[in-house]
Amino acid sequence: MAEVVGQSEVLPYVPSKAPYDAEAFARTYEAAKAPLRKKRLLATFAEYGEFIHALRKLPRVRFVPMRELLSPGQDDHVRCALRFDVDMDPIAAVRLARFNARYGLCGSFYLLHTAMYYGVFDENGFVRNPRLREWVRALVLAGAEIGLHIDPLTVYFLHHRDGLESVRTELNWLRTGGVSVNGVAAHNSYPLFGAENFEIFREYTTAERSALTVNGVSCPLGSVPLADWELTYEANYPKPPGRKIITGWFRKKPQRWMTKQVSDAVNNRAWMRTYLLDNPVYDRAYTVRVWYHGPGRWTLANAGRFVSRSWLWQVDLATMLEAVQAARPASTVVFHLHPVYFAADTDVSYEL
Amino acid sequence: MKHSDGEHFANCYFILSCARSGSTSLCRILDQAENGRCVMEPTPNLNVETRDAMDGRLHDLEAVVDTCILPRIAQQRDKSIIYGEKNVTYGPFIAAMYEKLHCRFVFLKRDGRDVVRSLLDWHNRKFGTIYRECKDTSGVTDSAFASAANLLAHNDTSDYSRPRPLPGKEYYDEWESMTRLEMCAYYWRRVNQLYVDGLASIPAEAWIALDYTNPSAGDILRVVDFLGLEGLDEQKIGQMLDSRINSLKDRGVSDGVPTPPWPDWPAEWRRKFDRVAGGMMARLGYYESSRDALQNAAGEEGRFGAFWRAHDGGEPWYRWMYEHRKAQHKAFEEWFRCVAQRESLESVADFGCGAAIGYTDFFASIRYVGMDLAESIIHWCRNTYSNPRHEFRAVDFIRRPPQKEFDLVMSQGTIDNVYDMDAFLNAAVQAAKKWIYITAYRGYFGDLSEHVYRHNEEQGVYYNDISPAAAYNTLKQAGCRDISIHPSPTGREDIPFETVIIAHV
Repeated sequence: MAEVVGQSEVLPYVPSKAPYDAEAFARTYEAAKAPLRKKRLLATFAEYGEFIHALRKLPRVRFVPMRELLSPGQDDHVRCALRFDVDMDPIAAVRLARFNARYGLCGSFYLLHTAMYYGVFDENGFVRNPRLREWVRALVLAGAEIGLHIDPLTVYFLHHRDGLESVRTELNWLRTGGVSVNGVAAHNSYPLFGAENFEIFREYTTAERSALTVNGVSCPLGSVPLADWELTYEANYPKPPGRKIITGWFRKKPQRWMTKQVSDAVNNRAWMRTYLLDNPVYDRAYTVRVWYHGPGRWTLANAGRFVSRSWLWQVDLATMLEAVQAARPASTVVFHLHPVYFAADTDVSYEL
Repeated sequence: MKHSDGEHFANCYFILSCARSGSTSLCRILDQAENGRCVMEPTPNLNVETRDAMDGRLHDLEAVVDTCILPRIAQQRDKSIIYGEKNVTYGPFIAAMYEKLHCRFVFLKRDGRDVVRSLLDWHNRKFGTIYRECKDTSGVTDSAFASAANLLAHNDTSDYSRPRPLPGKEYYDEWESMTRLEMCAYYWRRVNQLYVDGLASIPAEAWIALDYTNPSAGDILRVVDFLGLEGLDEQKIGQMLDSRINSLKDRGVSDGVPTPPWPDWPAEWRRKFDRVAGGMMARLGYYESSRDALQNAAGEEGRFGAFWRAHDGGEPWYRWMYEHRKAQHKAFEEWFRCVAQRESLESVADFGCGAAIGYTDFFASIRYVGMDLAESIIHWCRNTYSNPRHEFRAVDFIRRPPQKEFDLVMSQGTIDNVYDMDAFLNAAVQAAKKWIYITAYRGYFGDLSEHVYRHNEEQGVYYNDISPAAAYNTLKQAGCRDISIHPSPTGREDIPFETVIIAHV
């Protein structure tokens, strides 16, 4: 039975038994990478190796999965986590997880349930890619942390399906066979919908509202405690924003950042500075945010207090690592990585 | 603490072994001694430290012994027992342990093929975590998968402890595509290499080797005697050996498909294993020599040399070869003149002489014996050269080397193409009374810890990369001195340096 929320009908989220179009996946996979390749934003797998080798050389650095980022522990180390939002390339994700395994590194890989590689909606429900199990299995055997890159707002507003149920269902599916899923990472959504995906959780509502309505479809916000879905964290570790000194293009119009889409936002300096350092919607509980943009380009935002606060825009690896090394003891660093950016030499035919 | 304190700890020993080599079994057996205790994998177990040391990330090895091992040995000080322990991670620390503790070691070795089979079984049926980066995810049982799912990589110090090739080193670039069998073979080779090297640096009376491939109670009693343990007899030991301690069955695992024992391995598996671990198999005595590995890998026993035997390039081809490497020949001549000024060099053997281009002239006044596999070219030499001081022999000089017959044994660019480079070096040493001078034309591979063999099945020829370190060890063990293994510039872009090996016999 369809449930009516607000003014439009929201269909239940149910698995469909229709076959998944593997050929369409292959086409989409390559097509989605094509513009990035054209702009020379794709690095090779080897560049990831260089990054890891250089990072491991830093003294005082300890690697943890995202789920242990804020756990009590040694304070004399800089605690680093490798966060992989698998927006479009699960094959590269497996390659990177396996590389991490060589060095005892546990990256945290969040699979995007609204991505083509994960599955598609048809008139009957949601059709999962049968290869998904293979990728999850490979990630688990490589010792990676698995999580869901949650995108319930897209499920609600673009597919008119029950987005909360989609998250719950896919978490349970991922957990099949004893896979432990403790965390989720919210897919960016504020500029698109005016709310972050993590706002579905009771712990992370950022405004005093219980629902968000877009084009007549309503999504409940703040209705689910993390523990109800056996979760312990959301990977942004969001907290209410502090007092912000917003600079640049968005200084006079923070609403513009919050609600308007910017072309190629991650390569827009002002947008990214606001997103990583001066976010008017939420703050992050960890100190240093590092974002990889493609070959040789790293952005670092250290939200520490006073002199430790810093902003480096699209610098090279060595400069970025110097800043990581300079972070105060007990700093927490998250490397925001997207596998596709290391996939110049990985394609759909890559044999897993 | 140096030896003065270490003397107190002389009653301690360590079992050195790869994983899945029987060390748990031996540990439990030795723990039955009336006057001793043998502890299984005490912590800290050095999982992280051993890998960091192998990767060059840890330099102060003595500090590791001080902080991780010495305290628990010190606790045994007043107990008047012989204390032993086993971990599979002592490899990089043997010299430091001996220096600090004056301890003894039991080096437990096992046929690498058995070890690899067992590791594969444990991965597929028990843990799912052996070389987690390996592409091969098939064969892992549900229980092994669940076990792996409960252990994230950062907490998996066991898997971290296993060696991986470093960037720029052998196997690094191909590691991603290697099978788990190859990775496990690499593990077995690297760890045993550490043991062999470590034990070579301490007195021989401080350690004993035990082959656990098919151990008998008598073998173990030999170790018991070496360690001074009491209260263990043949019957007791035999019973414990029969119980298959720490086998999968012993650990209650029955599901999953067992990995076949190595005699049932398909040819491809054997090839893969031998490519990685064949040299160490020979070194540990499981193959007669690494030639066995390569011939097994090639699957064509005795084909070595077919290329030269059938080669019909004749003298022009050898002359071209000589001209191509003329700088190396001239460098040799320069070296010879210098040495001959200091000491008498009256007889020379040339291993792989080919058409002896250049050398019949250079050695016109002394005894020169050219040796080669290719009968046709030897026949040509005999018909072409008439110097009564010169002789040419068609012979496999590796299998049947002359015995202390020549002041100098030289060889130009032949060792790269033989089935066993260590055997080649040993043959040269056996044949020489004073010096050996050997060049390897395929390059200088300073980073290689072991020789790399490549067999061209079509040609029946080996194209090898010689490891200076391995060659040094071979010559050292053969009793050579003044060993010099160095790069020699060629002036060419394709191969900027060749390898020159010189040693005083």
